[in-house]
Amino acid sequence: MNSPESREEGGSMAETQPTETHAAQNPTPPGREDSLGYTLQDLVLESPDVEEFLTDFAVLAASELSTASNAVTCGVTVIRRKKGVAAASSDEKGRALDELQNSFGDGPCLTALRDKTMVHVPDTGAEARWPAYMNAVSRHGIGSILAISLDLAGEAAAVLNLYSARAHGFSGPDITAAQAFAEHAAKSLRLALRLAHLRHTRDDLAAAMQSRTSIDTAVGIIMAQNRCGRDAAFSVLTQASNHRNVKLRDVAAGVIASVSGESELPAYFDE
Amino acid sequence: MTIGPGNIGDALPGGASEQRRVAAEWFQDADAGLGTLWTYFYSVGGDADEVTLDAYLHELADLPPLQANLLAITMREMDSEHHYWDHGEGQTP
Repeated sequence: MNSPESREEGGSMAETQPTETHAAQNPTPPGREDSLGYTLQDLVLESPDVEEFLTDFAVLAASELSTASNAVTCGVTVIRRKKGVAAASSDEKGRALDELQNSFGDGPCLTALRDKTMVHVPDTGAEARWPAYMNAVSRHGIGSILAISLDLAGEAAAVLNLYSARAHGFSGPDITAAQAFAEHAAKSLRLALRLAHLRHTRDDLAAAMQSRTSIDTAVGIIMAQNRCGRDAAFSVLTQASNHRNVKLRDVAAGVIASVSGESELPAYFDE
Repeated sequence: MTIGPGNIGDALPGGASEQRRVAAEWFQDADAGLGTLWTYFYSVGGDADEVTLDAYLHELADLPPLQANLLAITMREMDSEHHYWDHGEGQTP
């Protein structure tokens, strides 16, 4: 976070920026887009997982895209192949609104997500599409909705949902700003997803190596005890696993425990 | 230790080609990527590489009996670990 005096250095800039700048690290005051890029980069680096990134992301979107006369609530939904849906919101209201739409199974945000496009509902009271959902959001005090699909280059699908209490809450410039934000944000979201994927793969490989070590050790024990080859020893293990419907690595842990007497390991052969 | 020696040829009923057909079908139905499958296969002691697994799963190549049995065990264990498919990011399996 920047110190108050850093804003003084940026005083030569044409527009006054409500958002923070990184002038302290950078002698030339960065433009709005640079500043947003830095902030998004920090989010990627500092978030321990995708869920937390999405929450910070939604909060940032809401603060970036709200104006003095129009407070915006933001929700973001990501659909990853095989990993299901991750969603986050800038506040409780956003969460409730996203859940509401999911319960209807259709609406502007889901349409934007599906068609990879932008859907604008300027006035929920006058919108002809999705009548039941529009009734429900009106009751929640929402006047207009802007849903923008994030381009993740096929790695996943995501949508940024913006809700305003006012009808016609999103002007032309607001929509342009939201689109620019979405374009920037999509890149950092891709990075966050890719990092998470690598982390996940690394964890899987670490677990695989640990499991394989137990199994190899157990195979060695059986070879010594039964004076047999590796394939025959493996066969002993796999048959025990098949017949007892116990995971191979658990059978192996039992074999190791039976030799080493390590009592903390579950002894599957005592049953 | 009360378990006795086993027979390498003690495969699934129906023999090796039936076992391969079942594996190929499983792979088609499962939404598991080859990489995920190979990692699990490696974790139970499998030695075949990804390319060989891929060929076997498309019924284009054979696996030695032990490797085929380990692949069958891989599939059974993955089926029993439903969370394997949809657990969130950042968690260990």
